[in-house]
Order: sequence, then structure tokens, then C-alpha cells
Amino acid sequence: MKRLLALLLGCLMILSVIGVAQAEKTTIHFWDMIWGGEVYVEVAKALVEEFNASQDEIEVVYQSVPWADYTQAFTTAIAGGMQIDCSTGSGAMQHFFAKTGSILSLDPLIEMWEAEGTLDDFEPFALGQMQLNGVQIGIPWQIQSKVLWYNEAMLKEAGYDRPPETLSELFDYCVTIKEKGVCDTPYAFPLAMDQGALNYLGFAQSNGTGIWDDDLNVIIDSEENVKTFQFFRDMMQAGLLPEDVAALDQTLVDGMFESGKVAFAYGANVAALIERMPEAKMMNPIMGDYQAAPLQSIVHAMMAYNTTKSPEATYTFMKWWSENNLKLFSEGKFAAIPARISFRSDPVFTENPIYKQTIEELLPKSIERFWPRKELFAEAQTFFAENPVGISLQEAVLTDRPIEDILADCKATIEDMMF
Amino acid sequence: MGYKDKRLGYLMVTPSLLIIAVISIYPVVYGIWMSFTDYNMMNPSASQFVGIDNFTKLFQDKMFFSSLAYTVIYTVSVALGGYLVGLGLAMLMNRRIFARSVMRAFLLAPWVVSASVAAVCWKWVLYSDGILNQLMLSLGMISKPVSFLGLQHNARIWVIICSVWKQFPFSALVLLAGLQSINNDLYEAAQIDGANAPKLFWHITLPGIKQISLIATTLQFIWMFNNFDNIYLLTNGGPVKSTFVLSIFSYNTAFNRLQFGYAASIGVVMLIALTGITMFYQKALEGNTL
Repeated sequence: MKRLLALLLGCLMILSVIGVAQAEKTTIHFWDMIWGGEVYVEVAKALVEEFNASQDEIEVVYQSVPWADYTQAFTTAIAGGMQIDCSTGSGAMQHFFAKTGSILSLDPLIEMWEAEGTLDDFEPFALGQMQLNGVQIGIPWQIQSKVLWYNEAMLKEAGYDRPPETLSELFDYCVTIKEKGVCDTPYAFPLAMDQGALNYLGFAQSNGTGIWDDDLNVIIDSEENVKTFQFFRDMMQAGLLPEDVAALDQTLVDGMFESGKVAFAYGANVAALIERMPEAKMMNPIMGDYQAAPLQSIVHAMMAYNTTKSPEATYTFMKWWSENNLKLFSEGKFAAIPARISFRSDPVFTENPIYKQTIEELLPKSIERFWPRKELFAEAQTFFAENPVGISLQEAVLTDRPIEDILADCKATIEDMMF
Repeated sequence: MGYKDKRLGYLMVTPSLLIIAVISIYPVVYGIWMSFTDYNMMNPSASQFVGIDNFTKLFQDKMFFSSLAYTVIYTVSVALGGYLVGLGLAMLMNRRIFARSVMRAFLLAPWVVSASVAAVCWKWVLYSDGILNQLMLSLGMISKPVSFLGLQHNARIWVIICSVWKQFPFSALVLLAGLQSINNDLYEAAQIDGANAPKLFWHITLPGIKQISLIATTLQFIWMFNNFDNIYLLTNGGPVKSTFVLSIFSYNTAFNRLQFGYAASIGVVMLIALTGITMFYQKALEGNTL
């Protein structure tokens, strides 16, 4: 009996020691946006478990964050003093929160990779975009390219054996496709949401302009922007866009494209699309008057917050996550290109023609997201959330109001939006 | 009532009053205070008192007036539409009809469905290649798809229709309870005196449900004036801000521009307007017999 009691006491002591050890672990709260389906979340959770198993002193708590009203979720959590140590986030989120003083400098992480000689594994333009006044505020982890898709079979039916290369060719193709009765509205893009502004921005950049110049002066009323707006108005007036284009979101546009209702659609470089629709092909960037035919690639990053109680532990986890998240793409089916160049030798990227085309042909043409402005900035987050250009484009395609007047109002709104 | 009884009464309601003060009164007072500052939630210590600057700016803001106009149209239309549809269905459900209990359960469906699910379903129904257009095309009612949500005028109407669909079950439910509380003897006596259906409705049914109607429409009015999700999820306030309401305006100002003080001033104006209208409405109904 005494032996049994001693054994029990021994076990209790061991358990309490383990308990104390666990209690002393530093807890890191990692908020990850839901970048993919259920598989993505499962793989991400498994990765966190793998990290936790490899650590004696750090424990990461994984939290999936839905996209609906995510800015509100982060703003409220940070302002409320909730412990978020690090997160993934949309393109300009780190700049948005850096402006409010909530972002932790990631320079120590960069120094670690520099010391190891592995910093050049990051796509150079992606790393540069994640700086603010020379301070690294985000670690790029994936790049999403926004492209035009075309239905090869429908183009052939209209008599074309190659996709259009210029804006005027795109217009002519759409006219022919409509005239030959291949489909009623040849081109669709999601103008209801901020994706409409992205689609516009791509076309504006093809025309040699953008929303801001490099000094952050608003140039939406430039001659080139007027020309680009006119292009979309002409498309609408010629019946080449769906009449309810201003109400279309990405899901509806994808549905129209996959069901053969439109010949061209704007969207992400989703590799899985060609498995469902072999006739779907990805276009190279369209050429406007700007001869470089640039590609708009959106870099998404990981960031850390000043609310963290343990910057060192946060850096340790972020470094591990950045170096080991290939599974999110390969097993988690996340449809994007990794910011780490070494990850791209994985078969998931070398064997899929969409990824292959993106990496070999499109990424080298990537320009800064808000070109001609080179650096990202806080208001970019507000710009997409409030969507003034998308709303102005809705007005241009739905009304006869002079485009110059629409853009003058748009300019005033954007200027008012700047912090 | 003795002093001890009174003290016990006060003691018993104190916890409830404290909870109400913390979760209801404090946020309102805090919001009002915030509207007089340039409050930034990310850096509260830097906030400064700015007097009535936010309100001055608000009353010069074109967006405020256009949002207010559609907010009023939307609120009145949905509250009234929801009430009328709810009343009609409540009267139907109050009769002895086939499968009444099953139909009552179905009646609640729109109210039970979450706003986000409802919005996605409505989008699929209403877009150019959606079910409604396909149905109307196949019946020969239209020659080409109608842009229900893509044109400003149509979107304004369809946002209201979708919200009426979402809200009418509440009115129907409470009005059905009201209808069931009317004594049947009143109808029988009136019928013996020769009253026809419209007279029965006007002189017995409507007065019988007056109080419950007051409650139902007032609540609908308040909910719709503050409503955010029905519209935001369906049209995002578009196209061309045609369905932009004050709650979306306030949300954008707070969370996209981080101008929390200015956003609070929009909330304060909404609070004042809503309190005034509700008081006037209650007074007007109390003073009249239907």
C-alpha cells in the first residue's frame, strides 16, 4: 500500500513538473486568414502542431480568420488589447496597421536570413514592397496574379487562333464574338466589389497610368485614365459587358465563365480551373499604350504586432513558418505562387501549366501593385475597402455623365481618404 | 408599501440596472463623447476634444444627405411592407386552412436564415443569368435578362423587396398572436348585426391588434434604420452608392478611414433621429384609434 502511495505521489510530482513546464511556455497567438478551403485550414493547423512539437518553450495557438469584415476584426482586437502576436493578411494590411503604430519591425528576421545567406530566396520585388521607410514590416509569403482568362473554344468559334494582345484587339474580339452569336456578352468582371478596381487598375497600368504617382499625388483624372474609363464605357454601350456588371462579384463572374456565358473573364490565376474547364486559358497581360504590358501581382505577407509580449518567440515562429509552409500550397491546395523561389521547384508548380506560365512568363513582367507609385502605403487598404474607383467605374458604365466629371469627384474622394 | 419593502425592491432591481448601465448606457454615453473628439481607436490617448467640428463637417457632407435619404426610404418601405405582408399572412394563418402548422413553420424560414446566406441566395436568384431571369425568359415575360441589382433604380427597389422578405415573418408572428387574442364573440355579434368582411376588419381586427402593430412596426423601424447586413451583403451599398445607408457610411468612416469620432457623430445623429421619430410615432398612434 505504501509503495502504491509512493508511486502515485511520484506520478503526481512528475505531472506537476510537466504542468509547470507547460505553464512556462510562451504562448504565441497566430491569426491566419482563410486562404483556401477546409483542407487549407487543416494543413495549417497540422503545421502549427508540427512547430509546437518541435519547441520546448513556445506554443502557438492557431486562429482562422474569415475574410468578412476582417479589417474590423483586427482593428477591434488590436485596439482592445487582445494578444495577437502575428498574422497573415491582405496586400496592404501591414502598412495600414503600421500607420497606427501597431506593427512590429521585422528587421531582426531579415538580419537572421541575411546572416544565413538565404534572404535571396524571396522574390525581390515582393520583399521590397513590404517595407515602410526602410523598415521591414511584412514577410512576403505568397503572390497572387490577377489575369484575364479566355475560352479558347469560343475564340476559335469566332475565328481567332490566338488571344488578343492589345486593348483595341480585345474590343474587336468582343464585337466579333457577339456578332457571330458565340455569346451575348463576351466579357465579364466583378465590378460590385473591390475586384472591379483591381481589374481597372490592371487596364489603367496597361495604358501607362495608375491612381497615384510616385509622390502619392492622386492622378486618377489623368488623360490616360479618362481613356481607360472610356474603354469600359464603350464596352458597355456596345453591349459587350453584362448589363448587371455593376452587381457581379467574383463568384458570379467565375460561374458565367465556367458555364460558357462569357468568352473573357477577369480573375485570379486559379490553377484548378483548367481541371474543370480545359478550354480555359490564361492571357498574358494586355497591351495598352504602355508598351511594357505589365502584370498586376499582389503580394500577401505575414506581419507581427506590437501587442506581442514576446517578440523573440514571435520571430522564431515566423521564421519557421516562412521556411516550412510549402505544404499549404502542395497539400493545402492554396492557389497562389509562393514568395519563396525555392518552393517553386515543387511538382505542384512545375507540372501545372497555369503555375508554369505564371512563374515563367508572367511574374517577370510584374510591376509594383500601385505603379507608378513604387511603395505600398496605408491608404491602399482603405482604397480597396472603400472602393472609390470601382464606384466611379460603375457610374461610367451605367450613366452618361461626362467621364471627366466622374473622375474629378473620384479624385476628391481619394484625396479625402488619405490619412 | 413599507420602507423595508421598497428597499428590498430597489435591491432586487439593482443588479439588472447595473448590467443595463454597463452594456447599454455606457456605450451610448461613450459614443456621444467620442463624437466630440477626433478619437482614433488605435491610439486613444492621442484623441483630442474637437467640439462640434464632426457635426459641422457631417452637415456639409453630400454623402450624409444622400445616405440619409435612402435610409429613410428603405426604413419606411421595409417597415410598412413587412407589416402589410405580415398582416396578410397572419390573417391567412389565423384561418382554418390546410396544413396550417406546417405553413406556420415555413413562414418563419426567411427570418431564421442568416443574413449572409439570404444575400448569397438572392444574388443567385437576381443576377442576369439567375433563376428569376431564366424563369421570366422561359415564360416569355421578357426578351432579355433584367438587371435587378446592376442598375441604381432597380437595386434600390430589390434591396427593399429582399429586406421585406427577410423581415415579414417577425410581423406575421406577432400579429398572429394579436389576432388570436381577439375574442371571436365580437365577430359573431357583428356578423349578426350585418357587418361585412371589410367592416369586420376595420372595426374589430385593426383595433384589436393596434398595440401589437405599434410594437411590431416600431421595432421594424428601429431595426431597419440601423440595418447594415441586409444591404451590405447584397449590394455593398452600390451600384454607384445608390443603396448606401447611414450604417454603411458610419462603418466605412470608422473601420476603413479610422475616423471614429466622425463615425460616432453619424451614430449620434441616427440616435437622435430615431428617438425623435419613434416618440412622435408612438404619440401619434396613442392619440388615434384605428
